[in-house]
Amino acid sequence: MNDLGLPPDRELPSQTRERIYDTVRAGMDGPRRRPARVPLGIAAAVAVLAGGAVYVNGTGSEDVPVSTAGNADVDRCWTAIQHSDQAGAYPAREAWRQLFRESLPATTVTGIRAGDTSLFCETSLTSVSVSAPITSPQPPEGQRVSTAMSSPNGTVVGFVESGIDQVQVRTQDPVGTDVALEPAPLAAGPFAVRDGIFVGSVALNDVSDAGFVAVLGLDSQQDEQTEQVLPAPPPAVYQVDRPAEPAEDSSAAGAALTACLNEPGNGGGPVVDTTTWRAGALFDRHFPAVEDPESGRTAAAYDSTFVVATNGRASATCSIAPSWDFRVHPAPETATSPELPIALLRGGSHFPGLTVAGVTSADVAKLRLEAAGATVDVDVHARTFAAFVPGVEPDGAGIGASAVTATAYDAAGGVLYRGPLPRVPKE
Amino acid sequence: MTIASEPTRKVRALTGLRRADNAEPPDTVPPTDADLWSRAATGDEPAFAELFRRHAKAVWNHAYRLTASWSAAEDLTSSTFLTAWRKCAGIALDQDSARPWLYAVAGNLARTHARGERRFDRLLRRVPRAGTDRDHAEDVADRLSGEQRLREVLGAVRRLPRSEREAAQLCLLGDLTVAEAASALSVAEATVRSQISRARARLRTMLEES
Repeated sequence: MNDLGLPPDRELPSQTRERIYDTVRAGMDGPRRRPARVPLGIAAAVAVLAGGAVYVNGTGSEDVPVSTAGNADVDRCWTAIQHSDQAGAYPAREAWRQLFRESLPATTVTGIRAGDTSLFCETSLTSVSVSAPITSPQPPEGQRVSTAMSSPNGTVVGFVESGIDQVQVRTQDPVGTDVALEPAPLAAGPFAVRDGIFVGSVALNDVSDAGFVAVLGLDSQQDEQTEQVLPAPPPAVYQVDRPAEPAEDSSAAGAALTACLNEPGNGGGPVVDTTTWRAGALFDRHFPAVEDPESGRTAAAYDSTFVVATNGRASATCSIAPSWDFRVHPAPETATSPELPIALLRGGSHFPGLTVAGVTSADVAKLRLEAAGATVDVDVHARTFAAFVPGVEPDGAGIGASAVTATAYDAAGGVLYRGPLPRVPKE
Repeated sequence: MTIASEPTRKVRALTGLRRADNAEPPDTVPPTDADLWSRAATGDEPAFAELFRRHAKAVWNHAYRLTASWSAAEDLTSSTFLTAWRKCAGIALDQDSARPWLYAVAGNLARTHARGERRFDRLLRRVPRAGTDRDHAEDVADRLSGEQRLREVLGAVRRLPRSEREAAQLCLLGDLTVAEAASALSVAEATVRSQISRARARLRTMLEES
């Protein structure tokens, strides 16, 4: 026994050894990964380190991170630091090692370690946010959770004490949401915790003025949930390093999108990468008051207005009415395929009918949607579409799908697809 | 494409191991871990089997100290070496020994599988697979006593501050030297010494209290 009273090593019985190797051998026929070769000591360090959230591109916790050499995102982080007045506070670029790389809906967060110092860097299409250098990557004594950085893009990075698996971050003060017309706390999560670090999008714009609260104990049936007010430290370094020209707003869709992106209904700052979004299809419809003959009650009239947009990374739907809402979805080229050139991003039930919004492959010029005896011809704008399909109700399995038949045409009128309108993917 | 049947796979696996057992004639200089690693990276299974032969016992014992379960240790050892096989093509070994890296991976996998106290407890309570514990037919009382002590130590290690816990896992639960742990953690040896010293003091206090 050693000084901790641990039992001594045992001999590995040959039977056990062969059984283990047999198990290994059975898995050796699977795919092998070939990332850029990195010194093993570095990779091992990342696998164990404090911030050793060993997940790269969200591919799983057993991934071994790669060197930061030649990493364009990390290069942007370093360049932003060099252009700030705090360059001297950060460790040398040569010492940086990537702890993890997390792809969020609109940004990418990279965890970096250099010796005893950790830092976090968020890159978007236009901006870089870098946390202050951190030498103690854990909550302060007496606290269970702490924040390393709250970015203008609505991203929060922080630490939790050992043993906590999940944390939910919500706004302390109510803000407007898409699910309630009245202001309510904006909840995001639960964020997964990996090796004591959590990363996630509370919103897609800066809502830090509302203050944050962390909700702990989500993964325990024994522990009561507890809340802790979280500070929201802004990035120590923030730079718009890839400015984009703002979208035109002379068209109705452009004007609606500009207003939607720059004046979020949640009271926060402009939406992430505001200048990169380009307007596609505009939906704007007035739904009159409807009286239920059975109950005699009347549903109030309202407007539904939203724009489908795209940028170099994703697609988005930005809703102005009846309430503000901004959501990021996959880019058209990711969401569609030659076999299925239409993808539904979101939809809504507006008795008696559905609103649908989606993206298409590049060669789709027009859509025809048919349901309940009605036919709706829809123009495709910049690979996006939005439409109202009357007389249809959700079938219990979500918006869209079997109740609506879609036909996609190319510019010459050729049929590229005919079949059910795909369902809205689960978020 | 032909797919090996289960018996064939078994024979291949054991053949690889036995070839590794007799891999080097006594009058030749044994290849370094780095050499074997590089060869394994190209798909050389005998080279990988030799790495397994060299380090399986150490990884298996380390895995036991990370889990307090011989059953879990066996699974963890398999997963660690399978990870090594899958990753070696993308990683260059810059140390004399592959052991620090293997320990690091084992530690990471152990945390992944045992995250949270509840899941950790579940892992410790796993029912051993048939045949697993037959290999250790020692005095049952001694074994249970050792496992109980290990669980107490593991519980205490899990409560250490993160940096101390990492160093303790490698040097106190594992048998890495300060230099090897420093290399694996990318920190100075003095830092590891300090972390080990603090961890040891905290552990003694916690274990005395328990």
